[in-house]
Amino acid sequence: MKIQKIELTNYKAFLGTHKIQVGGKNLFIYGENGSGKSSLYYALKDFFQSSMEDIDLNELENAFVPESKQGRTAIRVTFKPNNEGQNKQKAYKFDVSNNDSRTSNDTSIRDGNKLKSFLTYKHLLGIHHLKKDEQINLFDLLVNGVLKHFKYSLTGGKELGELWTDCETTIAKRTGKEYQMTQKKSEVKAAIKVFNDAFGELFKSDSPEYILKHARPILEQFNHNIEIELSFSQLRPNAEFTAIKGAEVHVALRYAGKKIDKPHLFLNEARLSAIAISIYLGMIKRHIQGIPCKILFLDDIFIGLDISNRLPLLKIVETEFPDYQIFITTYDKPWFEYAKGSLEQNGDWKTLEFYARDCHDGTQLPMVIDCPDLLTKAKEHFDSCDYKAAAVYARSAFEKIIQKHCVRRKQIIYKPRLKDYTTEDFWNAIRDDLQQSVRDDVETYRNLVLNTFSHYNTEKPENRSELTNAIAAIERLKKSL
Amino acid sequence: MQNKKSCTFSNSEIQQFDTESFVIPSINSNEKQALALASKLSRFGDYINCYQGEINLSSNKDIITTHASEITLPIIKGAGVQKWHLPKTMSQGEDSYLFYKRYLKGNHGKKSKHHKFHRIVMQGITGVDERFRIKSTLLDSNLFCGHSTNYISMMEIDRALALHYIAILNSECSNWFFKKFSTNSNVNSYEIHNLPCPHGSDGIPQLSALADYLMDLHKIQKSLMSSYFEQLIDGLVYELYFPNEIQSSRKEILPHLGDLKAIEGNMSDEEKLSIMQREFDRLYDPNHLVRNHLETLDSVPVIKTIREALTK
Repeated sequence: MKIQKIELTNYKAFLGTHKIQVGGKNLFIYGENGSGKSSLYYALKDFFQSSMEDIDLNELENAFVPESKQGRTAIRVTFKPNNEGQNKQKAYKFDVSNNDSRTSNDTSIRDGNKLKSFLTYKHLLGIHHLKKDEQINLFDLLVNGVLKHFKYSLTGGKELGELWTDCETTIAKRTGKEYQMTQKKSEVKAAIKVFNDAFGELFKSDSPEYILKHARPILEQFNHNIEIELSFSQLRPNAEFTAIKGAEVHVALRYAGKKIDKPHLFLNEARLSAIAISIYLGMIKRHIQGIPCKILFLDDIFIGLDISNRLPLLKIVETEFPDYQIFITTYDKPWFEYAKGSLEQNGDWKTLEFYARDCHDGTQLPMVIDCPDLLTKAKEHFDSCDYKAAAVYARSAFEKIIQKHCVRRKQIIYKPRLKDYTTEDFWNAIRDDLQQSVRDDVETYRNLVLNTFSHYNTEKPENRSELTNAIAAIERLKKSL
Repeated sequence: MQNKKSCTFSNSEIQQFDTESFVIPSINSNEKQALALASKLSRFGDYINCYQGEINLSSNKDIITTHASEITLPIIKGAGVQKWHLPKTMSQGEDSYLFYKRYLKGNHGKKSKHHKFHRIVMQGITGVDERFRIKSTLLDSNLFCGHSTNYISMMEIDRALALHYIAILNSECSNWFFKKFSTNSNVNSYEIHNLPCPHGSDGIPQLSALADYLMDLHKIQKSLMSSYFEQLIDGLVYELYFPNEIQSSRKEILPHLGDLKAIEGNMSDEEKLSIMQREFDRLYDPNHLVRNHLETLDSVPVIKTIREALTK
């Protein structure tokens, strides 16, 4: 089951009803701050979570909904194929009075919720709090971050984060006449035992739940050439039963086969992020895989990674999670454009851009722009008679097509700086390889239409038929390459 | 489904819920449907008798000692019984032994013969806040039961059926049902009689094999393997309690379980462990339907309701 469409009404940043066409594809979203990309993350997360837990949609209503329209907050998600595996669509609506995902016999959304496969940059914030002047302790990053929602046989129906909270709550209880120390000791020991059993199992190398079993192959794909070992020292109360000791997960490291004595000096933000993400993704992979509706949502988690780590991560999610529907958001426009280029070659991906549009009353509304390729955009502008815009997009499409072709074929003379390259360099590198008719058409309409229409020139008004031919020429060029 | 705290019952519903004592259950509106479904099943009382332990530890002090000898036999107390096993040390109190010949000389009733047979034994007093109130396991012959235990004699039931009963008694579902009617810390025989007992051949070999595994594994220690087998028993018992609900949600476990290889008393510990490890590896595979259905079982509304009630 893949998501076809998401409709959000008055949910968080989305005032009014907004439709997001996903088309059953993986989605890569660029969004500036405040544009609603995290609202989309939480909308989908809440949608799945609401199938099992009560979520008060009124609490999540957009703050600017007029009084007369309040109480209509809704998330509607349409899937195809439906839960029967038939090639039909099925919509599930979650609003203040109704939740289709709770329908008795249809467990698909409730099963999907089990994966807890929604990772936000907030789960990785623990990386920034690590003290670099002492031994690295990943406990907080794991227990309150990437493994917070992890559940399995030994967590006894609770999430790992809840088990840790139980430990913290019992140790913090004050003793007195009504709650005596013997009772506190017994409760603290019981809570700690459950936590140690559940969390400790993840560090046993012969256990099917071994934390590095699935994380290591993923980490290897980041090409850091590092091998890690993790150790958990087991929780224990202090002598007075007022604090918990042992909340420590230490890292032992080998780089290029050599033991690193001071891992804290070696592990920079990117490497730590790669380790944390590998552990998280590894834990998703260890999960049961027979769930019909598998979503993996990574919200802004590329923040802590440089380009040399971002591309491997993109490849990892594609290769390791082929049957998942992947959602990735980023606020980094150059990265988005860069990644889009590589994803566009793969028909499984779709890109969207989110912007915060200013409204006349001083508020902002999310604006979702479907990102077709530049030629399609040129045609859209052509259809709406905006010929100048159509020409600009067609010219950009021409530049992109020849640049990408040259880069792919390494068919260009070397220049030390990227800005030294001109469109002519790329064109000259490929023009002789083209069929003469294609080459002639491109050269004719490039000068006659694309370059000319892109400027303000009263002597040369935009001509509809010339523009039609120009766009057709760029299309033929694209096909021939 | 909206869950209301208050709930109304008709007389006939109360009679259906508790066929002997007509106790009004403490449930919310969601649980009522689950309770009604479970109440349609036959009850333990239809098949077995549950007794309070035969040795009153207070009134028989003159024939009880703390020292083992040739003329004594051990007495099992409630604190010495746990789910699936009899721990080497009791959670409280000290070991007691019975001058059994003196006891048998003065007691000739039915219960005085039960020590000659194996029994299903369970704690007679458990904390009202405990998630599991029924803690049962197998008891060998030639052991006596203190009054803080309850037991079911195996005079008339074979070992496989006894293990099947233990699996049901120790399950999450039975414990939920029990807690709905219990108002104090006693586990009374009549409360055991009132528990639903899905009877028939379905699941007996599988549940008894798993109960056997767990009794063996608990001699070692709690582990991922034992925890998973326990989860599996819970799943199978839900399937016996709510077959229609499980089927319509396509979460059946039993048809996908395959043959669980039984462990036998004459096998070495290594042989037993090797069998259990093989079954665990097979069924814990993330792609195996059993594990998939088991881990998504609370997508079935009636099971979600019960699990939520047990965590409160």
